[in-house]
Amino acid sequence: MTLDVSSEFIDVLRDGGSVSNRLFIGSSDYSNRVQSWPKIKRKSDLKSQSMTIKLANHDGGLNSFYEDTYNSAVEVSIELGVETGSEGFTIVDSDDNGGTYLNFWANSGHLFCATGNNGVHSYLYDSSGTLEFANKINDTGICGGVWANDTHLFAANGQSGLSSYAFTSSGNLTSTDSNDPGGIPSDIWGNTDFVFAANTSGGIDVFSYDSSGSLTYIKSNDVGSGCVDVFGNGDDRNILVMGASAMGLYTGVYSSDGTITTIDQSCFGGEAWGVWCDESSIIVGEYQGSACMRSYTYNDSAELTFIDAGSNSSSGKGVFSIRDQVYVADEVSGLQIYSKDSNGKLTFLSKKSLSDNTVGVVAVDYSSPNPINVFATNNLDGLISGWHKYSPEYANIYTGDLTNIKYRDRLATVTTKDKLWRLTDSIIGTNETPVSFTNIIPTDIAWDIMTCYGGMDTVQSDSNVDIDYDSFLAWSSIFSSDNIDMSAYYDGDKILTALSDLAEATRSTIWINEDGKFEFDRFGGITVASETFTILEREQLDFEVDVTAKDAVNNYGVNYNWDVESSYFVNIDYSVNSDSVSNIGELSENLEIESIWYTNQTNASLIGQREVFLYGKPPKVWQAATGLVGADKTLSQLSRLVNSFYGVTSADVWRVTEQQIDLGSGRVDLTFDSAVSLYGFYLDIDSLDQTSRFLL
Amino acid sequence: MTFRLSLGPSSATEITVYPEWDYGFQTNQTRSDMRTPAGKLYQYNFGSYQTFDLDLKYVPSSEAVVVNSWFDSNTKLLFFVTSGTATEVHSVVMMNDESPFNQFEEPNESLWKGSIELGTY
Repeated sequence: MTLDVSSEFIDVLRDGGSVSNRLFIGSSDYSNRVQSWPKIKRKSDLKSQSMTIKLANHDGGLNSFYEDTYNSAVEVSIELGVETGSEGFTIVDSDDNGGTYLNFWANSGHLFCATGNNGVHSYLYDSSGTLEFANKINDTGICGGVWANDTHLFAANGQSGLSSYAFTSSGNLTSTDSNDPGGIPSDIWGNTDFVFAANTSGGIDVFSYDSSGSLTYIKSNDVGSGCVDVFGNGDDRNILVMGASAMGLYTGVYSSDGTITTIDQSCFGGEAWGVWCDESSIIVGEYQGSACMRSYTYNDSAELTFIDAGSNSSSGKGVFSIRDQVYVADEVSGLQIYSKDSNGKLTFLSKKSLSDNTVGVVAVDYSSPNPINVFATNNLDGLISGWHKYSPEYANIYTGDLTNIKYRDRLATVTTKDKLWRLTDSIIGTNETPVSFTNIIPTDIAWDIMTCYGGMDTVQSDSNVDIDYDSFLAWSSIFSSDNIDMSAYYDGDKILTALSDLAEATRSTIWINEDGKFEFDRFGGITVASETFTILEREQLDFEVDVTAKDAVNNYGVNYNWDVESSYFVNIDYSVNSDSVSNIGELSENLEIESIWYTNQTNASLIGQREVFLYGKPPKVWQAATGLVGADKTLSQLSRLVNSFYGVTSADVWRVTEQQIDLGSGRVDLTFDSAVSLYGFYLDIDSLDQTSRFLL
Repeated sequence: MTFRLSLGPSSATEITVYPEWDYGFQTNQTRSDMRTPAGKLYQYNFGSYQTFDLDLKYVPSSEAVVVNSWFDSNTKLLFFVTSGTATEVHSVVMMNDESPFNQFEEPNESLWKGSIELGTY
């Protein structure tokens, strides 16, 4: 499997189902503007592949690219998304350090818990969902809610008012201040200016704070007959949503002096409990009504429009939403999980029964394809950490650069190119200062070409952003184990030409993979264990065989030892496939690349023997089209085909040399080459007598 | 149980519509069907959208003018389908090729007939 996805994802690609693609330009999602999805092409000819995508620009939302051309050179990525269904919630860890875990705030690896009469608890969590308890502070009062910025934690401590704590990177808490204007604050939310406390005996109390965590009470605002939760949209519209128990849901707008003006209200059968909102939608937990939560949208004036209700249970308290998944802590039935579409419509996905009194929930997003880390509470286990597999699941399928954008008829046509285009104008060496490599492994030459002269990332680990380092190491090890050295001389050669020559001289392929990184392989490698992909006849939308007699070679001369000063090859080694010559006559070809060359007869012979063996018979090229399951392949990957008419069985292994993924229809065209698969035998270099022989 | 259809830029400015009984609600799929010669079907659903076709008669001028003005200004609308206590809300635009109400309901000169074609976005 090439794509980093679940087996359910592959099942949908193979069997059909719901597919949703995503287009990102920079970090912004422009999927909803795509007029037609492009065809992604990959070839091994080291030519930059470009494609165009038409985007709706009806509202001028894409005008920023020409208005600020400094920001127009950005990365473009396309993801293939699949509805894999929901696997529900899987618990990975739990912890209980006393008290009643009521509410949370998650913040860059820190998780803070409001635990009633046991104060605030501080945890660290990692990407696996594992919890590490750091410490806790138990001030007086019933701690019902917490909110944190990057340095301080703020807690609603019931009858004791509001408290603030500084926290370290290891999660240790230190009390910094407290402020009690009266009433019983039960939960809080804040931004860079204010902390808003939902006061059950009033409405919303507003505090300001400074960099040391000192709290200043500003004013109280009457909302309903008291609030239990408050949340803000975080943008400059200054909109708050407030859960006011039996008085329902309120929206309001706050001003710079802390005055909150209520705008809209929605009463429903049950009590409004936890609230959550983003830039356009609101979720409110409904307690003891006809639903466990309700979904609303709101406009710039904070006016509400009811959209949908999640009626799978009826004791919702805490709510949280991330990546269009909605999590509801239902006091009676546990964790309820819904999905929310762009209009706010809800679809029930699954539930996880927890013991009674599930009241708080918060979720943390990790980038696709990782699932969502959800933290919830219950009386039995205290704090629970678990995974909810995100659906749809996305896999990166293309990464390139935005190289051109044209505007016409309220459409923006975006042209993207893969990373090879960055190398088109770069050269290595000049006549005055040529660059030479002498007797070194060819992959080291390639590394220097790409990094020193092409400006690609030099990091020698899998965090390299331009080069797939694992692929590079595997490619390098082939030449290392065969003791192959080459020399090279560049005096103004284009980098792409130099890389292309190196690939031809070493019978390698270099391409740009789905993550926009250089990937490498040597055609004819002996590793065949990983191929698991068979395209059955039934799965072939189209099948074509192409055999061209002139592609055969049975007398191959490899020129080696180029004399730079005199500009000629000192030696040539001929390899002949006599069986082929006697059958189809002599077909000669020479390897004659003046920029990179072998430096001894053994290495030259190796490439010649390989060539006349593979191309002694005219090679077959198979072209097969299949569904999106073909997207889970990459260039140079070995695959199997079955076609009864042409006598192709799954015993034969072919290598993918071209791939075209049509994201609009789901058709994937793959080209397979018989001559580069080298399956069933390998070339061995005997280290004693330096001769080459085939093992069949 | 009450059943009510209403349309407007927001819930505050909606008007109630009373379509003829042949009104239609459809869900449409954006889909690719590819069948191999051997019979396997690859069917990928890329998305779906809904359309609502409403034929209306005896619409008073006051409402016909409002609906026509929404058409003229490409106004984004909300279509409310209320059944009992449940209300479905759809974000829609008018898909008509021409003004929805452009014929009198003869012989009345203050009542109009026409159709509204809505599509979700």
